[in-house]
This record gives sequence, C-alpha cells and structure tokens, in this order.
Amino acid sequence: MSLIPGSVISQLVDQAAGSDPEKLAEMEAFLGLDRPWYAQLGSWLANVVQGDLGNSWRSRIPVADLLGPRLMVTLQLSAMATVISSLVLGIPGGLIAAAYKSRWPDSVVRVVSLLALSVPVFWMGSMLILVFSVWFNWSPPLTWVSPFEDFGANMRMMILPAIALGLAGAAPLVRMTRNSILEVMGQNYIRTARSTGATEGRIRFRHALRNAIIPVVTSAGLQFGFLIGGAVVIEEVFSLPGVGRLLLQAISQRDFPVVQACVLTIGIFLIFLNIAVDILYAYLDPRIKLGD
Amino acid sequence: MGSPHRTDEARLEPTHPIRTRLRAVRRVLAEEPLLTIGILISFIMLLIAIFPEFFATYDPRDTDALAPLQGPSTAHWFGTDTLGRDVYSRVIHGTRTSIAVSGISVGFALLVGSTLGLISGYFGGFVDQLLGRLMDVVFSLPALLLAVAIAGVLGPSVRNAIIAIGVVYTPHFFRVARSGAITMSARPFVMASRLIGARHRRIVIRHILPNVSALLMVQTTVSFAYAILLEASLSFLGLGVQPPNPSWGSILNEGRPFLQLAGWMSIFPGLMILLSVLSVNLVGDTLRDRWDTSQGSG
Repeated sequence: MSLIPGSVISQLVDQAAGSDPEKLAEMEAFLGLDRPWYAQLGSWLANVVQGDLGNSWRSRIPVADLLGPRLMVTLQLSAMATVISSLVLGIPGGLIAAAYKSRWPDSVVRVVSLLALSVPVFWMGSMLILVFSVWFNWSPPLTWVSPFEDFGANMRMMILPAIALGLAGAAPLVRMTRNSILEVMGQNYIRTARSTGATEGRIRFRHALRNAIIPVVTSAGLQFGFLIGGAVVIEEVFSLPGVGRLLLQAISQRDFPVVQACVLTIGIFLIFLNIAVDILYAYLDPRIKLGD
Repeated sequence: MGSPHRTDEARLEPTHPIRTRLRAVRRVLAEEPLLTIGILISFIMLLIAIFPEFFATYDPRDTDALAPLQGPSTAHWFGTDTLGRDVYSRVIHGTRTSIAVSGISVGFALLVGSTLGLISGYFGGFVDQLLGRLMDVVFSLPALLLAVAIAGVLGPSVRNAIIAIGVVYTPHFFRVARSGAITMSARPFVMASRLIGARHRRIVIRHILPNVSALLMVQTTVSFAYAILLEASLSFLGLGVQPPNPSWGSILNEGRPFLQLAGWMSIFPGLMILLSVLSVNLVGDTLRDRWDTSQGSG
C-alpha cells in the first residue's frame, strides 16, 4: 500500500500553503514519505507490533482512537446479521428443505435462497429504505446511538441494515443445514432411534439436529467474517459510522495509515474469529480434540 | 508423436456421435428446469451486452432538460434521471460494461489462479509453500473489503476495478487447480507418462489440466456471479466505472441521493443485477450439484 504515493501531500499542502516546493518537501519529510517504501513499511510494522497504529495523516488523531468506536458499530451490525442469517433464516430454511427433500418446499427454499444470494446487498438496503418509507412512512433515524445509551433507538437504526446483510449470508447456511441433516438422517443411530418407536419430530430435533448443527455453527462463524465485508457497503447506504465508512473516507482522502489500520484490524479480527470457531467446534463435538 | 500410454479419463469413455450427445444435453435440460431458465436468461443478457443499440430506445448519454426525474411511462419505460436521460437505455448500455468488467476480471483470475495452482500442486515443495501462504492471505480477507481497499488505493477507474476483482478471485481458482493437480499427480497415468520421459509442461497441460477443467468451469461460473455483484458494489461506491459511463453499479450510485424522490433510478438497475446474477447462479448451482453427486469431488 505504501507503494502508491497518492496525493495526500498535495491535498494537505493545497489547503495549507499553496504549492511551495519547499513546503512540500518539508511535509514529505514530516510524514516520512521521503524514505523508500521498504523503510516506510518496516517502521510501520515495527510500530504496529508495539501496538501503535500511527496517526491519521489528515486529522493527526491516533488511528486507534478513530477505529475503536467504529469497530463496535461494524461488529454489532455483523453480529446481528449473523444471527438473522443463521437462526432466523438459514437453519429453519435448511430444516424445511431437508424435511421435504425433493418435494416442492425444497425447491421453493432453494430458489428463494438463490435469489437472496443474487441480490446486491446495498440494493437490498436501498429497497428496504424505499419500501418502509413509502408504505409505512417510516425511515430509520440518521444519527447513530450506542446500544448502551438507548437500546431501542439503536435497534431502530440497525435492524434494516442487519436484515439486508443477513439475507445475503443466509443461502450458504440453508444449503449447509439441509445437506448436513440429510447426511445425519441416513446414519445408523437414527435407524436405531426410529426402531425404539421415537416420533419423527423427536428424532429430527432431538437426535438429528444436535449432530447436524455442528458444521452449521462452523460455517455461521466463518460467515460472520464474510458479513464484515458486506458491512462496508451497507454502512454507506444507511450512513452508519462503522469501519467501512471510515475506510471509504480514508481512501478518498488518501489517508493511508487509516486504510492500512482498517484492513489490518479486520484481518486480525478474522484470525481470532477462526480460532474461536475452532474452539467452539471442539466444545460442541467432544470427539474432536485440539492439538492432537 | 503421441505416447501410446496417453489415457486421459475422457479417452476411456466410448465416443458418442453428435446426435447422442445432443440427446443427452436435451435430457439434462429437461431434468433441470432451473438450469434451462438460467441458460436462457444468461443468453439474453449476453445478447443485450453485445447489441445494446438494438434493445435501447434512446442514446444513453442524450440529456433532456425538459424531462428530468420522470417516473416510468410508455415513452421512458424505466423513467428518466436527473439530467433527463432515459434510465432504460442506460441500464441496457450498462449491461455491456458490467458484464465485460466482471468477465475480464474472472478471466484474469482463472488464468493466473489456475496456472499458479497447477504449478504449485504439481511441483509442491518451496514454491507450493510460498504461493499457498500468499493465496491464503488474500483468501482470508473478505472479498468486498479487499476489493474496496485495492481499487481505492490504486485509484477509481475501470482498469483498477478489474485488477481488484481479479486479485480477489485468483485464490479461488488457485485452490481448485492446486488440489486437482495434487490428486491427479498421484494417478497411475501421470506416473506412467513421467516414466516415459514426458516433459513437465506436457504432463501438466495434456494430462492434468483436462481433468481439472470441469471443476474450473464450475468455479468460473460461481465466481462470475460474485464478480457481477462485486463490480456493482465497487461502482456503487464510486470506485469502479465512473459516472458519465453507465454501468449497473454507477447508475445506482447516481440514483442514490434521489432514492425516495425517484425510486425508479434505483429499482431497475438493481433488478437487472439480480436477474443476471440469479441466472448465472442457477447454472452454477445446478452444475455443482450434478458434479458433486455424479462425479464425486476431485
């Protein structure tokens, strides 16, 4: 990223003091841009390891201070979307499809989930705004409130973007749940349960779902990461002050420390997410042992 | 010239005359109505992309100061935008840009990803380790986030959007090609040709590639659907196709401030994206299902 010099200098200097070459060089030296790119990358890495993400070129505010509150918004949004896509849509959809395998409800679920997969997330967001404002004469509030201050207002703001985002993430979970249940239903212990005279509903929920849900939990966890990506656009549509908007703003201002920090933070978060999912996996399925 | 031991899997099947092949295709289409619908819509989209002049009713750049922001009517099917341009014609002309950008990006990813994947899987060792790690880094970041970062840093333009989308999808092809190459390298027919002294390049191209190509085809379809969405997202954010030129995403970008005033500027391009992505997904989903069940994986 440091490879591309960008125009932050000219942008900053234009505001400050016209295009005086001396001023330009001074500014460059101040930001460390006069050094070769590998030196810049090296010192950036050295600082990051020490927990210093640097300062924004624009506002001079430490990047960590910019990022912190915005990360909360993005994480809340992605978490809500994950709940919607797994608990509200994905798992019930998969259960229905598996229960009626190769019959019409199965086909309906398949087409609907393909539809959901094919909708651009940001367009879904716009359409939700449009539908709610035209038909119900209601639109989400424009200023963001922390859930700890006013939970109701926060929910009113977050529910539509979470639905738009959750819809996009539901399709793989539907498929996963359906296939996983079908696989489990063919196993011996289900036959045994059936032979003891257990009802079909009991078999399905008590015996099959418990085992079938494990891979679904894993992919729901990984889905969380995918949804963070989707949050970038949906935040723009709903004007939520999240990491996505910060990133876009930083890009348009060529504020590279902020861009680097945004990508790095989300990358690190995803690594921890993967570890957490692995641990959860072992917890849910006692047969799996971590680290051999 | 050709070695007598060249036994591509396809060679083992009896070769069908064309008529039997056609009948087989027709049978598959009859079995899978969704596949048929998907192919049909994709074909229409392709026609629109190639001959937009035939479908459009106005010049997409013609402004009409007397008719800005008009709702859908018989004169303007999808209404007009702020400058009085015909939204229908802009959507039609945008088809070419959107499909071309996604197509070129996926082509780039297919070429680079599968070449590197084949090399990595076939030779293994240090090269494999290095490429594998590199691809993992790209793969682990969310597609949209990475594309936004790349396109943003390189600067907003069509070319950079193509690079961004291409880079994002390269690891997908890399993984498919690599795992295919590893499986195939262990097969007796590959060992046999190595024993006769065939060159590496020949083995990879003539023996391994044909056996991985079906999986790569499925991956291409799936990635193409996502690439259309990604291009739309980038252009919507102003990082792809730039406004005077129509693409589905850039029209949505222009319509965004007028969402509640002129909803048609947002509804129709979105529907077009939905329709084209859905049609490609219908094809990809069916292909994947048939591949998974009838052929086993990899």
